[in-house]
Amino acid sequence: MSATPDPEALRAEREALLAAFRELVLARGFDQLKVEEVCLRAEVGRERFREHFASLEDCYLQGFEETARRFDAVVFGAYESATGGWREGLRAAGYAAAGFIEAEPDAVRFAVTSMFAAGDRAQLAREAQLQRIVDLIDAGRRQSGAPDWLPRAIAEGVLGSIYQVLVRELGRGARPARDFVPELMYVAVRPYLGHAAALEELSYPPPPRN
Amino acid sequence: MPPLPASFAPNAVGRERLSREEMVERQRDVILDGAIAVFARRGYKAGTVGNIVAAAKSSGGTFYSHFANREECFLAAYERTVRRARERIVMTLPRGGSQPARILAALAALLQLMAEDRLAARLVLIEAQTAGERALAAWEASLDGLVPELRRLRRASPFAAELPESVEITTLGGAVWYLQQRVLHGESGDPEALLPELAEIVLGPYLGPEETVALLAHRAT
Repeated sequence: MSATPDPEALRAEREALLAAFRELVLARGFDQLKVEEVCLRAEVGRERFREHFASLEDCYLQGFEETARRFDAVVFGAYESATGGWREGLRAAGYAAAGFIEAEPDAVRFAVTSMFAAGDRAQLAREAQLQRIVDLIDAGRRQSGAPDWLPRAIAEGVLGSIYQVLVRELGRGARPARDFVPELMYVAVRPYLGHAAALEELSYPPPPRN
Repeated sequence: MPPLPASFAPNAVGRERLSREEMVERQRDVILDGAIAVFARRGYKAGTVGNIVAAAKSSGGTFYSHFANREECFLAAYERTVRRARERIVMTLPRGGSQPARILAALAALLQLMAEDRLAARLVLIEAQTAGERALAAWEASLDGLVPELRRLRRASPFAAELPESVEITTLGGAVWYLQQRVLHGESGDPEALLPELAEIVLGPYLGPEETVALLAHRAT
């Protein structure tokens, strides 16, 4: 009679593999990894990998999607529950994102690392998540006073600005993530509400830490 | 006996005489052309020396006489692409003129280059971030090299005293992301249609939207 796998043991095994995979991606990049190395680091038998993941790309995809779900819940939740309009919501989302980055730096680095190397399915999943963030920024076009000719591409540019700060500045670790929110709010607000409104963001007091 | 006229000289008809150095350089260029096509179409990870040699109609021996390995070939292809792009862009810059006008001309030239050579654009904008640490370092050095040019825009900005310290980094990030998305979605074929958006991303933070639009209009006349 075959034993039914213990769900808790299965969950722990999957978490160990994901954690090992994430550590190896961060240390060496996605390109050179082998399944055997992930299993060795996770202290899981090689044959067990296929019980959880079809491939390394699938492992990346699942790891990314779990991080993205947690991130979305925090960030979009903050946007929706902020009082005020788009600008207040975006600011709340920005600080929520900063809090997530500070709480889970490796998960965030993993999500942005190997952005183009992890295969088509992973890229599609990432693209979908990024477009949700672009939607949030792009809602600035509907604000009173926003120029009506601004295309969605401007919101993409804002996302790119945020990404560049994440990769370059956070990678250096010199300043905490929430310190960048005012400058990134400046970048986000300026195209839609103008320089004067964007300038206000630089001196807007941050919310108290939870 | 008097010497033959030059038109009677061997190899004179339709074929230039190349020095050995020029032949070696041309051979290297052919391999790099093949490498760009392979890496852009297959990605760095999947692009092999065999693929490159086949694309270049060359040989493994010739490949390895120029490059130690795949990574060295990639780096050389990247460096050549960036160098040629820089040379081409500099040639299109207006003599004198304001920094905003120069940046706008550079952006227009860059978009034109991307439309003409989509594979090279993909190599630089996308694949350089997948080809290992040295390629990533080369990519980041390319971006760092652009910061002083953007910083000079502050002199033309009515907001210069108030601009955040990070505006060059965020502007660069926005422009790079915008170009990457165009390449990923196969949307880089119409440079004139893309220029207003890219101009707003790059010049808007320094000049504001009205001045950016005016500059675009002035360029069009």
